[in-house]
Amino acid sequence: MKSMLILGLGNDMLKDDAVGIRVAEKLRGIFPPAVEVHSTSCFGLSLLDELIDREKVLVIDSYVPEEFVGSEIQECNLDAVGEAGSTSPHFVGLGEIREIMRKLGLAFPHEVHILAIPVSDPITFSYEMSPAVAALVDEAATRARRIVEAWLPVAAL
Amino acid sequence: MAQRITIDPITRLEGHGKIEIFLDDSGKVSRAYFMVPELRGFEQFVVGRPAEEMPQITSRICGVCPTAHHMAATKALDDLYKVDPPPVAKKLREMIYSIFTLEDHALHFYFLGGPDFVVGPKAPKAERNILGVIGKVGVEVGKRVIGMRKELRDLISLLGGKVIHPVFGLPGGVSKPMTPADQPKFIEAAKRGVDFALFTLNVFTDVVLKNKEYVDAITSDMYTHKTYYMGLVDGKNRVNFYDGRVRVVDPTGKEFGVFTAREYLDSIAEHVEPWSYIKFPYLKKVGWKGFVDGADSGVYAVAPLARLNAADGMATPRAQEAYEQLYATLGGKPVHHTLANHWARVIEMIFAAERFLELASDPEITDPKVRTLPTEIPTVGMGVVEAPRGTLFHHYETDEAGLITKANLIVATQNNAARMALSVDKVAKALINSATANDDGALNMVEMAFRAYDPCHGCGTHSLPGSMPIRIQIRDLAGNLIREFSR
Repeated sequence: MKSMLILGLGNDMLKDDAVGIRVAEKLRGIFPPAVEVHSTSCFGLSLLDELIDREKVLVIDSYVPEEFVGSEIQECNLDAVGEAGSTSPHFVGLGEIREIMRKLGLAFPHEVHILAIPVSDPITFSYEMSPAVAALVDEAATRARRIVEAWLPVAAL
Repeated sequence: MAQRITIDPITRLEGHGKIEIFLDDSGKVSRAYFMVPELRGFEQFVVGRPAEEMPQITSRICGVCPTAHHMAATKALDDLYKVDPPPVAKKLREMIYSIFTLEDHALHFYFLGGPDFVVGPKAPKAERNILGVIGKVGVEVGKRVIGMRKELRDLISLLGGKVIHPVFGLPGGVSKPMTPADQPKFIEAAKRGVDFALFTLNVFTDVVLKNKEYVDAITSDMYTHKTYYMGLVDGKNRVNFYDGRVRVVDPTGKEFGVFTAREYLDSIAEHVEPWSYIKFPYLKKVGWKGFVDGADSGVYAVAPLARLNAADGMATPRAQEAYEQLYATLGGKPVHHTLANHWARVIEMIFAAERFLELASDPEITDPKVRTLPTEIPTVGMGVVEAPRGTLFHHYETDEAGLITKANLIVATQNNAARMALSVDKVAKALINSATANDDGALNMVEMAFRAYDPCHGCGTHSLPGSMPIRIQIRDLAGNLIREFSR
């Protein structure tokens, strides 16, 4: 059965890289069963397994801005990214996965929305995020909730 | 004017990396550097944590080699607690490990290394990617690769929990037995795995070995280094991924030494360079003589080709046939051609699948006694396995309560670091000059020099929106940007 997925990406041992996972944790248990909440530190082709048989997917991840101070949470739709992935020689990301699934006749989600949270240190081993990044978790969770609620029929809320 | 070319990040690697190529005043390469990113503070992070957590913690260092770290850590815990797992636990571990190796090697062959050979090193860059591979081998083959990979990962999860969060290895055994009801699933999947691996050898034969240009590239001098080779072998000196002794052969193929995990510090030392975060291991008894090959240099290699070179053969019949074919084709042992790693990887896929089938079919594999409870006080533990990318050492020391006081890991990509640096430098000197600095094909062939090793920088990168740009910068030696472009 097609379903909706909230997918938190990151590594909770690598300081700020945990932020996608922490936001996903905040969203567990608040939506009806049609909305699954997963988190993973897998990447590359492993993400394909998560996307199969999904109607809509919200990906929550981090990004490293040139300057952390003043950077904001970003939202975009994968469609807005264009076909960059299909022409990249780099390893597998969401863009390539979309093209692979289309090429292999596998149904790619109708909508993939991306919520990207700025981080400053995703390379130091630690279970503790930077205070400034931790402070963004609630705002990111609120925005994620709003995005997913817009996908649901009113009766499901 | 002297120039610097930067390829950052390196394409299709698991994690970021960077190459810098310095051109001298005459436009020739004076030196090419292969650099890896830094992950900070692992040793401090684990100090004070219970040693039993190490199979879970280390498997999450990155999303690439979780099972390899999990297994090396589990074996180190066996040693730490001085406990010998029951025979069926060792078989289950080796079976899971064979499944993992088969899946990982397939991923590299088709999707990471594949674009170099299946599509072609000088193919248009828009085609030199996973989609290009699918276009070349066909949609049905693409579906088969994706399907096989998912089936193998599901089997690992069935017995060991999530691949990235395994709950399988414990000191003295494993967490749960295989049920008789599940055994047929494993046997049938293993049969499909053998067919898949043999099919992949046919693909390699048709696409690569029947293409003279590719074979010439494999055997060309710029992709050749005469170094030492290291790999885990069983009691008959045959390749083994899970257990055995570490064997080292010299550049002529003669046995140089054999050691156990406990003895790794007697055999390996590490050299530090100011331009790289990675330490460069070398053979202690030969010594560090710089980034040079030959019998007088302690530089050695790990990974598929090194494993085959360090062994006397394969422990399963179809893999042995393929092993003999490789050496008959490439002029006998040892083979020093870096790009032959791709061929060796396919041979190891066959071995992994055959070994998976052997173990899944073993009548003892459903024995419920899967653990010997440890009773000794922990002190020091060391474990070694062959990760897909090469030999992987884990070393822990604890207090009497089993809390980590020291941890040291030597991962496969570290073991290969010096030889990879040699490879990048040699190919860059052969192909790059001021006239070819814009040549995408030439730069890709520099990257091929290390991609054959299947290096993993383990930074757990998961890029959004789906691909990372390649930035190439050409600078003079004073750091002034002369030209910049992306691909």
